[in-house]
Amino acid sequence: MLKKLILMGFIFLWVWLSGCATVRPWERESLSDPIMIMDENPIDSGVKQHYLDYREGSVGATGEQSGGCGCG
Amino acid sequence: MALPANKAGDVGVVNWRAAVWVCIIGFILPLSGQQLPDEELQANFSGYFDNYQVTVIYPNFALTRHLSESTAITGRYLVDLVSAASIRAGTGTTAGGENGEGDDGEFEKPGQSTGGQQADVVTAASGGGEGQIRLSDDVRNEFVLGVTRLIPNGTFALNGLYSKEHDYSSRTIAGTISQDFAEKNTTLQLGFVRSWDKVFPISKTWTRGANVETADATFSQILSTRLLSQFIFSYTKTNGQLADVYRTIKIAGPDSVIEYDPVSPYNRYRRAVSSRIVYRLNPLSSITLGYRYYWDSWDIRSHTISSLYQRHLSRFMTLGVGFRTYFQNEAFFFKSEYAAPEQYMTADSKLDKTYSTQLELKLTVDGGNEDGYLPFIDNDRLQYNFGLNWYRRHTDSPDWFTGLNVLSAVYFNVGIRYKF
Amino acid sequence: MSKIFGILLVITLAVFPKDAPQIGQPAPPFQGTTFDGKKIELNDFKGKVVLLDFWASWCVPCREEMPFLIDLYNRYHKSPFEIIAINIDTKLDNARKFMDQLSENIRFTVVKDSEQQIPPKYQINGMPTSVLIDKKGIIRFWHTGFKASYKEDYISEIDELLKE
Repeated sequence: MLKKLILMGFIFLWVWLSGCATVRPWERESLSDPIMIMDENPIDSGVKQHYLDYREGSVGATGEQSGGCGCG
Repeated sequence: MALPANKAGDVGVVNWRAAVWVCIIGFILPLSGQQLPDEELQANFSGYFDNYQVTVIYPNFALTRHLSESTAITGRYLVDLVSAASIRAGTGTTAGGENGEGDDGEFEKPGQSTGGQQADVVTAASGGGEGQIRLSDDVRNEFVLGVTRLIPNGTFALNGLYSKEHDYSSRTIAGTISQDFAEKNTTLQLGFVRSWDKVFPISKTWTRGANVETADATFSQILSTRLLSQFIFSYTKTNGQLADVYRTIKIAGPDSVIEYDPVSPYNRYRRAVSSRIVYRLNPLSSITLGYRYYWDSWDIRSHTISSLYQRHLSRFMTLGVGFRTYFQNEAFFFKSEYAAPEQYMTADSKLDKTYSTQLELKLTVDGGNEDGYLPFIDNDRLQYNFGLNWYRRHTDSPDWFTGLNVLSAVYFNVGIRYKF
Repeated sequence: MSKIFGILLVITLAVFPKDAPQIGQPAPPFQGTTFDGKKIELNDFKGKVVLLDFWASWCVPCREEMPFLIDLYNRYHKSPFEIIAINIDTKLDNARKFMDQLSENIRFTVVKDSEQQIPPKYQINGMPTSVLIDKKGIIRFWHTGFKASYKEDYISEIDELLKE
């Protein structure tokens, strides 16, 4: 039940926020800066996430996609 | 295009016929004013060192080129050179279960040790005789080939991955489709991953499979000229040989210590939701905050909190400082000691009650600085990346090999990107 | 799980771009100042075919489009044709640095609009946006984004408007 509530909370928050504001194309100068991009270097992020995934018991929802390895 | 509901016995999280249709549609849809990933060559040299005597060096290379205005191709190669004391330690064997599943879907029945020479550990021998110098105890090679195609208001990408090491191989296909809405203020991205893995430990005579299927959805929303948000939900189903047979369970018998192979449930269902925001503090800096909640069918629950502060030190140099903390509880079948053999047993510290912290430093140097002192900095197509992470993990139970509760690790990365 | 994934997939695939509604409408008038300090307004160019281009130095396809605009101007400058490039950088130095780096100087009109007052008049939906205005001041063609394959379309459209 708690998990469903958390999931619904995320979906509701997203739907609500998506109607909040529209930033026009000419207003995006600030957003084009690399420090505003969430995964500006996905390969670097993926390699870092790789060693975390194999030291901890959780995976997923990081924005990275990867295959398997026998890392222990 | 509605997908049929999973029937009992269905393996697929994602209906694979629908996935094939998505691939076909992704390649015939007309173009739009979207952008492909930049054409670039990226080379990184990364290293990992910890107090559990594990060292991993992993150089990796990636190349992206445009085949046409609407299609880009990416190739990547990574090699893990692993040096680990646990691999170099002596070899023992355990009599584990035979190939295939046991009754009731359990994958393995506990086996008993044939009497190892060294009571401490059971590991894989990596080959090589006395007197030989080895650069590493294990080598993993990973190859990735992918294609990205523009579709109306979005992109479609498909990647194939092959990974091979001396006791494990993985074949993976991964795809994403993304779509922009509301004048690109909103992006929805769907992803799927399917892996077919094979496990063939050196200390065993069998080969077993392990399957991974993942589906994820990412919602990105521009909230203002200074604030971005993102929500991700992922669902992963794994089954097969999920236990690491190198980490045996030692149970004191009446006369001796008996070593058993670990046994885990055949299936594991893993879910996670996360949220991130990026906020522009001022023209020079931004802060990223993230939270992830994870839960799975082995009763592990975890919370991950992360933050990253980035600041332009100059027009060409950007510094990032990040902090991450993580908490998880133990799997339902994890015990620090087993008094007697049980249906499920594990010595994997990843399944123990854990908390960890990580401090990250990263520096990006962009080329194009004609006033710079270094000659290779003035090319504006180049970018240099430097990263240093300090990681510390505490487990309730000591590690099966080192006997330590605290793992301390350092990770570094040096990379270069060249945009064509 | 599959149902949710399927619904999201349908939403993802069901979005297609629409034609700009401004085609066939009179081009909204505007006034501005060029980087040379000259004051101009759109009405000054009536009787000419005008390519109105919205661009910024932080926009990668805009940077890729600029050399093509220079070629277009060289091709048509003896005809009743003008290019007006509206720059919307908030920091004009960034725009100047980019223009200085070009291999060939820009000879057409570049208007500085750091206050970003002109784009809302045209309701542009992407960067860059190129609007072709005929000799009577009517918007006839609209391009959002830039790719090399658009070049031939631009040329045939300008030829068509010049023949009128």
